[in-house]
Amino acid sequence: MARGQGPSDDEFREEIEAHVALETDRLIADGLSPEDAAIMARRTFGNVTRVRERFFESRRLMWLEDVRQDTRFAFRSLRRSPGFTAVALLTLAIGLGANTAIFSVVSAVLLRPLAYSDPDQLILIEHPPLGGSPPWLRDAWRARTRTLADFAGFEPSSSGTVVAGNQPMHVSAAHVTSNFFPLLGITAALGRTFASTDAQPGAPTVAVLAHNFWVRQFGGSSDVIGRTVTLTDVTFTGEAGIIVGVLPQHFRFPVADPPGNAPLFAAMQPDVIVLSRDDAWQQVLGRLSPGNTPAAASAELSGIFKQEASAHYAASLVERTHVVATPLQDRLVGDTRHRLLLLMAAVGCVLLVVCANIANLLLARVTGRQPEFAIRAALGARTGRLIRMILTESLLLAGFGAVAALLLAYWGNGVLPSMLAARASHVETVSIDWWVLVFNTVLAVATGVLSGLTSLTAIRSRGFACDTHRAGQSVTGRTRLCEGLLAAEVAVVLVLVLTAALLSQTLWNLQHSNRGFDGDGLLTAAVMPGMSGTIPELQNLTSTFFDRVIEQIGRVPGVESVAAASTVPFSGPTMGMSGVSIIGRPSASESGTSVSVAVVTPGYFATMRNRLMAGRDFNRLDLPDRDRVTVVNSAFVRALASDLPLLGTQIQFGRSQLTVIGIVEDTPDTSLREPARPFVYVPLAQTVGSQFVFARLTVLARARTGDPAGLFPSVREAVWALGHDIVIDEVKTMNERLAAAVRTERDSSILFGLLAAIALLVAVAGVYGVVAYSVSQRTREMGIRIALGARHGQVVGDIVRESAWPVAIGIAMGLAGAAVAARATASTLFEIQPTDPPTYVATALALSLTALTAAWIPARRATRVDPIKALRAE
Amino acid sequence: MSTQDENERIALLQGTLDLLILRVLIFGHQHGQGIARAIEQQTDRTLLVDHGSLYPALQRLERREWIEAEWRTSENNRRARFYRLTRAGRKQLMTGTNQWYRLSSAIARILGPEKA
Repeated sequence: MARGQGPSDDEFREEIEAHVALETDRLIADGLSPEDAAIMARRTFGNVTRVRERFFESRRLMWLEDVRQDTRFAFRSLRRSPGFTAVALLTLAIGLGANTAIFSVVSAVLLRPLAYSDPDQLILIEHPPLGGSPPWLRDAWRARTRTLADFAGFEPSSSGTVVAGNQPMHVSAAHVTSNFFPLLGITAALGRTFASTDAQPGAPTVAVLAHNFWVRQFGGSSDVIGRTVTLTDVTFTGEAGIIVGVLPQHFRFPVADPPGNAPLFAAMQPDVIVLSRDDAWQQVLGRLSPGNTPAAASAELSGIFKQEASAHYAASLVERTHVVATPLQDRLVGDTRHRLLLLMAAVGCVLLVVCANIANLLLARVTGRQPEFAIRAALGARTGRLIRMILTESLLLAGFGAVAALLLAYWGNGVLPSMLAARASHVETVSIDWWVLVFNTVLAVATGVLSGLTSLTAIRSRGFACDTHRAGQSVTGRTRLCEGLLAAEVAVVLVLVLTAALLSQTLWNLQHSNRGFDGDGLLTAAVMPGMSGTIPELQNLTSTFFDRVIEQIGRVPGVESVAAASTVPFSGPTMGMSGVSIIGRPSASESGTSVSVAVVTPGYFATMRNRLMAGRDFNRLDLPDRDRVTVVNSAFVRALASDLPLLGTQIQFGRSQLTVIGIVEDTPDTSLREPARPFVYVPLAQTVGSQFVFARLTVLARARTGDPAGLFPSVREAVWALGHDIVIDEVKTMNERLAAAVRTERDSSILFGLLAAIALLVAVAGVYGVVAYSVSQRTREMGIRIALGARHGQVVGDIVRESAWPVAIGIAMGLAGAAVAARATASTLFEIQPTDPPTYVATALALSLTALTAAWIPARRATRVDPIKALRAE
Repeated sequence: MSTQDENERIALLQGTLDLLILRVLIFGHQHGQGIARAIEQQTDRTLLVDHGSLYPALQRLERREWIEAEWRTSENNRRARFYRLTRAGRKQLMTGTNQWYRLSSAIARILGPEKA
């Protein structure tokens, strides 16, 4: 039998029998009859079965029994100190809950694979600064690539007008090549997707519908197949498409939003997907052939590009262009990844502060329970068992915290995804799945063990079995650890508060940046007439319709001026037109520049208070039979004609030549961060005779005074006077549009502010608790000092000074940490340096003051000590 | 409340019994029945050893390697499992005894002089 094993079952039975026999022998020797002795011996031994039961239990379930006992004990001891338990549970629930909630979003956005077949192989191929890939490049790639199994082209969705039958509708539409759906592994829910025969010359243009659009617009009816939709807008081709299929409900178009784009538009899913013309410039979605990496694809495609591009572009442009293949998921997630990881780090920091605080609280508890531990140790409790007792307590806390955290995360899932994942258009649902549960559990256990172990270090240095009556005096070791934890808390809180301060300044800067127009007092609403007809008829109808709408609204009391435009700032991404050039001027950069187009009515710039820098605004004489005219913005001048006077020259724009009559100041397109894009403004009246129909324009009305939202009822009355089938939607003031455009920044700022506030509260409670505890432990010292004539101010000062050290060290560490963290936040900031000195100084000062106030309040209590009582207390 | 009291009493008995077993074994090897008898005799039967909890205690001590066991024949020719202190057990006895004295003297100081 090995040492430390105990007897086997048989041995134990034999041992008990031997015991009874020996006892019987002894009793016989004492003078009892053998029968009586045997009975007596059995009786003395007690219930043999019970003893054997205990034997088995002890062998098999010893640890389980211990755990049960420890848990029950921990439960009781927590119930006995409800104050401590409540504070610990609350902070744990918040700390763990924040982590679990954010992680559930991280899991859905970053970890869950995309809903396409073999999504790992999908890559997006881009070549900044060039926008889409031209046909000749795609041909070269297709002929020569070995790293790609296949690739498809697409033009992301943009919104515009579709005429189905004779009825105009406002939709968003995207274009894709015929192999797009097979490449993703998507089959139609109804009808079919595109086939290679659809792409052959002479074949009619075909389209598929998104599931939601089909239900909304066609009532989910299956006779939609074979109907014709006509795309008529500046971004669409103006040709008719035959509906061949409906996509499955779960399908999400892979919308990769350009970096810096406002989140509002990123998730814009196309209602209609049309087979692309081959001559278009397209985004390229590829599938890697087995064994190839995105890096290998980048290198190969880049090589092909460099060889082919010299025939098409200036050498300097070829030089500047980088072909990059990015895994589709990474690209779809975009900078949401960065923001999520930043938040994950922030909630991690909050949890660290919570952890330190609970360790501190436990430390005080453990120190207070020193006599109890000493007695237990004296009675034979092993150190391991005592450690386990304390750990059980912190783990039990963490366990309850974890449950509360899950509830919190569940609740947070109603709010967070729209705040965090709005830009990740591929994410449908954020839920508490197995990953999240595992994460929550691991985190809770780690928190419990970490805070429990920290509190144990104080004991381990001295052992449990120190003198019971000295336990209260040995505060020094504990204090050192407390101070360390305190400094760490302050450091982490400083980093969080600083980040929150930088983000809120970013928000302020964005909201107050120069936008080139005056947003106050502007009411905007999209207006679309109910009408039908052929395309030329529709063009005439819309042009006169909006003239009348503007006239009607202009009569509304309180409206200063009114205009309409196909796109207004923050109304959505405007598709770029490539191949715009200035007639008579050779331009090297022209091919790569994409130009946005807006159709406006006369008075648009005046209503926007968009400053005209040169030339004139449109007027009522810019009619279809006159010269086609355009106003461009200064970004256009910078991009295409920085060196020469532009007024009066003509530009080639699609099929038409336009004379530049004015230059206006830049206004933002979709994002306040991005530099303005080159814009070409065209008067609505002159769209007649083109291939475009603008049935839905955004009407802008400027209020004379006060809140423009108040104008809406009378504006609606005025419009409806022209007919009750007129659709008016997207009614927003310009400031509401602005608020939506800075939503990402606002949400980040709110979340970080919230986290910083929580961490700050927890840390303040920590400082308060430590000082209060230290004061209560030193009542005697205070009493003596006051009895000896120390002034109250001195006593308070001494105590506050003691906590001033860890606070100062924490602030120093925090400033250093913030400087490191600044590298991670730099890209999310706007017009503020990540190491902005005033912010650093102000935050450090504010935090020091807060911490010292938290120390001062309990310190004052020391002066209320009655010296006589204090001396008697010992 | 009652469960709590009971629990603390069990803890106390276990701890004490362990110490007493170690103490008895310092005189040499002994079987379970012998240990129980020795404790009873030495305390003038003030402490009655519950034989039912004696064996779990012995097994506990054995698992901690404070005692070790072997089968032998007793003086009246019965085969029994004899226990013996290990080196670690001896050390534990000293530590435990020490702690016990410190604790009891501390308690005694609080409770005041013994009444005659």
